[in-house]
Order: sequence, then structure tokens, then C-alpha cells
Amino acid sequence: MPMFIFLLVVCVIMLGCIVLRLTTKARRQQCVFEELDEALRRSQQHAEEQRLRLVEQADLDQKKNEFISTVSHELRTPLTSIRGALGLLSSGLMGNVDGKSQNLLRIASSNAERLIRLINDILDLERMESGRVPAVLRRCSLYDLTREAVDTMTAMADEAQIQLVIDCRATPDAIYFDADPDRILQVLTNLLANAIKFSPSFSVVSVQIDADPESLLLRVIDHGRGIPSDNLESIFNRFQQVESSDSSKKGGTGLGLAICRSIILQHGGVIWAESNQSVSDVESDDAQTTLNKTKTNTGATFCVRFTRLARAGDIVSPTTNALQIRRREGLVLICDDDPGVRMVVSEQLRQQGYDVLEAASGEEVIALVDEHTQENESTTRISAILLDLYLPGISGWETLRRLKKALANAAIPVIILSVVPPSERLMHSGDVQGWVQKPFDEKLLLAEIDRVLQNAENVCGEPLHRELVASRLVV
Amino acid sequence: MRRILIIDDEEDIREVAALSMETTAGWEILTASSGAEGILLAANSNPLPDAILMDVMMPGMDGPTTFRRMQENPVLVGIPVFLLTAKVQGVDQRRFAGMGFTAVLFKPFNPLTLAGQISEKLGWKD
Repeated sequence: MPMFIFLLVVCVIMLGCIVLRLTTKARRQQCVFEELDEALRRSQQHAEEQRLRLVEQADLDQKKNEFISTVSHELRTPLTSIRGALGLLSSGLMGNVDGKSQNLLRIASSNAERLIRLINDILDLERMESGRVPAVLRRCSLYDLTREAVDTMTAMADEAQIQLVIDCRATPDAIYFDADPDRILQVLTNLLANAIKFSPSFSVVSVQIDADPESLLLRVIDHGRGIPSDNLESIFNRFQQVESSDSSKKGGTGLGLAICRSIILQHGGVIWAESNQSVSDVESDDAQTTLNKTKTNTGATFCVRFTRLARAGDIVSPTTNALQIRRREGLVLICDDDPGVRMVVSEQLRQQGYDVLEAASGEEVIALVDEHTQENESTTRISAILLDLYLPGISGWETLRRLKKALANAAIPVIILSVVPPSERLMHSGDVQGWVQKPFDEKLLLAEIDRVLQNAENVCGEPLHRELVASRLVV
Repeated sequence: MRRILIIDDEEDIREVAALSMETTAGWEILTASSGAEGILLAANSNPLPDAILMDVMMPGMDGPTTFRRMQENPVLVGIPVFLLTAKVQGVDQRRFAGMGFTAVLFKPFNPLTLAGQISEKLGWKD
């Protein structure tokens, strides 16, 4: 009996212990739950705070944009009257004014112009740095853009008696890159204007273009007073000039280089300034003809390195590291309802060594493609399709959809040749490998075909990679 | 002689633009300070204006509204209308582009070339 009681007591104690342990465990678990709950609550709170901060930031950005837009409008309105009145007076249309008054009018007039440029530049810079207007990249020729910029600046250069020279050291086929042409033109004209402003009369401003497989390097070289080494970087800051009187003397806004840097950064490139120091060997008088090296400051060079992004049909030879042009061969199908366009494009392609098929409608494209993809030894496969979007019957978009539905045809690269600007959605979809907007330049079209065919060869039907390559065109 | 109507709420701008076109092109200029006044003036003008130049932001009826009213008016519907605006940002330009104006001109305009710009757009040789 006592034994039984003893066992009972032991059992009760053990049970008590178990219950105690279980409750402790439960309590501990409860604690863990509470901690997890607290952590969850905290992270939710954090996410909410983050969201509010983003909303606040977006709100702030919106307010800032509205403010800049309003300020710009409000400043322009009085400037319209000022510029108008001064312009009419200084033109002499309102009657003659004496020399002194004419000079005062000229001062007022040129400063009104400067104020207008300043407002435009501030707006430009804000727009760029807010990232609201993303750059739409197109295949461009750096040489053509430079040519255009030089043409634009020739009047200013002539007035300052300065000669503008282009020195293109790259082969014509190696200077294609993906860029927003208007913005690059803005950079080039800015750099040229700068060089002209700081050059002495009768000097030369030259633009050098070099290419390597990955990038293009453009240099604008002047023979002006140069830039002190401690200013080489700071001149890209807003309202920074080497001499404080420069902006009034030279009529600049102090924002030009900041805008250039902003644009180049947006293109994934780099811009920097260098001082041209020429080391000249001066023969000394003594008989031993020792050479004294003298360093002279001979102006400034602004360098811009553009990345090519998608390369224009260039392949790098591993031995020479030089750029080579891809051999042009293959069967290209051109579809356009305009017989004139078909004829011109066909002729250009044939001259380059391509075989060409022509189609006037989407239906014809489908039929021709089917014919050429059949397992038949005698038919050549189509290497690429140039497709117009506005077509009678089934449209270009529908043609594209039908082409891509059949697996055998889906691998044929398609280049859109249309008045429609490149569509980001279509390029990203991977259904379209290239895009040339009409009216087109022959060289651009050929470069785009080269690029697309080159990619197709490299990719060998890897759709994911093709998509990536395509997406690089429109950023 | 060409007859041009300027609608702008800023008196100074009306005066400068009028003076600029009178002296550089020799046109006859009518001016109005609001959209409503402009419509009334244009409709009662004999002969009708050859072109209308209007501001965007005006108290009461703004430029685009005034333009729409003119398009609904059978007397005024064919007259070329130019928008003269200080709103130069891309977003504004895109908004104006689809509205049917003959062209959008920007402030501050150059007083010596304003008339030339209008003539060029309308293909006027005189």
C-alpha cells in the first residue's frame, strides 16, 4: 500500500513535471510567436513607411516639375515683350538711333537672348536629370552626326575666323552606334561652340573620331587658352567657368557642359576634358645639340567615349583586333506594298551581294516563307525579312504574328522597315530583331541588316539571347 | 494686304507682336485680349482675318477652347490658327500637336522673323 501511494506520488510528480515542461515550452513558443508577430508588424510598418516615402517623393517630384514648368512659363512671358521690343528697336526698323543708344540696345538685346538660353538650359537639365524623358536610341553614324554639327556651327566659326575640321580615323562602317541623335547633336554643337568661343582667330578646331570594337572615341580639340588642371573636372559642374567673367564675356549660360555630361551619362558613355600640352624639342645653341623639352599649353581637348551597345555588323578579328566587315550574303525577303520602295531596297541589297525576294503583301510573305522553309534541297532558306507595317490585306503586325506562330519560321530574323518609330514592346517581345524607320538611309539599313544577321549567327536560335540583343536597341 | 488677328491677354505682347508684323511684313493687325473678344472681332471683321495668332493661357477661355469654338463657327472654321505659347516642354508640345492648329510658335518669338514664320507655314509668297 505505501508502495502504491509512493508510486502514485511519483507519478503525480512526473506528470506535474511534464505539464510544467509543456507549459514552459508552450510559453516559449508563445514568446516566439509574439516575437515573429512583432517582427512582421515591424516589417509591415517599414514597408508602409517606405511606400509613403515613395509617394511623398513622387509627389515632390511632380510639384518640382510643375514648379519648373510654371517658372519657365512665367519668365518667358515678360521676356517675350522685352526681346520683341529690343529686337525691333535695335534692328533699326523703328527709325535710326545714335551710336551710343545703339550700343546700349545691343547690350540689352544680347543679354535678353542670354537669359532665354539660360531658361532653356535649366529646363533641359532638369528634364534630363529627372529621367522623365528616357533617351530613345537608334542606330546612328557618329560621322554623320559630327558632319551635321559642324555644318550647324560653321556660321559661328566663320564669324570667329576659325576653321572646323573633321578627322575620322575609323572606317565608315565602324562608326555606327546606338544613340538618341538629337541629344548627341546637342552635345556636339555644345562642345564645338565652346571650342570656338575659347579659340584665337585663324586657329583650327578639329574633331577626331576613333573606333575600337567596343566603343567610339570623339575628341574636340582646340588651340585656345586651355584649362588649368584643377578645373578639368569642375568645369562640368553647373555654372562653373574657368574665369568668373567668362559667362558674361562669352555669352554662355554656364550649363552647357553640365548638359553634355548629363546626356552622355544617359547614353552610358563618359565625357572628360584634357589639357593639350605639346612637348616641343627646342634645339639649344651649344654645339652638343642637347634638346630642351618645353611644355606649352596649347588648348583643350574634350573627349567623349560612346559605348556602341549593339554593334553594327562588326566582328573583331582575334589576330589583328581590327574591325572587319561581315561578308554580305544570304537571301533577304523584302515586303512593302510600294513597288518603288521594293525596287530601291532590292537594288541596294543586290549590289551588296544579297539575294532578294520581293513581296507586296503579308499573304505573299507567308506563302514565300512557307515555300522556303520546306525540307527541300533546292530551296534556299530566307536569312532575314524586311517588313513594312502598313500593308493592304493583313497588316504587318498580323503577318508578324502568323510568322512567329510557326516554329520553323519563327527563327527567321525580322527587321521592321516602316514610317512607324521603333516600338519598345515589339522589340522586347523578341518577335522583331531590328528596326529601320522610313525615310531611311541606305547605310543605316545595311548596317542594321548586318547587325541582325550577325546576331542571328552568334545566337543560333537562342530566343532568350535574341531578346536581349533586341532590347538593347531601345533603351 | 493680309489681315492678322492676335489674341493675347498680355497687352505688351499684343503690341510688340503687332508692331513686329506691321513693320516687317506690312500686314494689318487686329488685336483682342480674350478668347471671347477674339471670336467676336474675327466674326465681325470684313474681310475675315487671313490668320489668327493666339495665346494658350488666358483668363476665361483658354487658347485651345477658343480654337474649338472657332471650329464650330461656320464663318471662322477655315481660318488658319497659330498657337503662340511660352509652354515649351515636350509634354505640352505633344498635347498641342493633336489639336489641329496650323502650327505652334514659341515665346519668346523673334520679332524680326515672326511674320516670316507665318508666311512660310501658309505658303504666302507676298
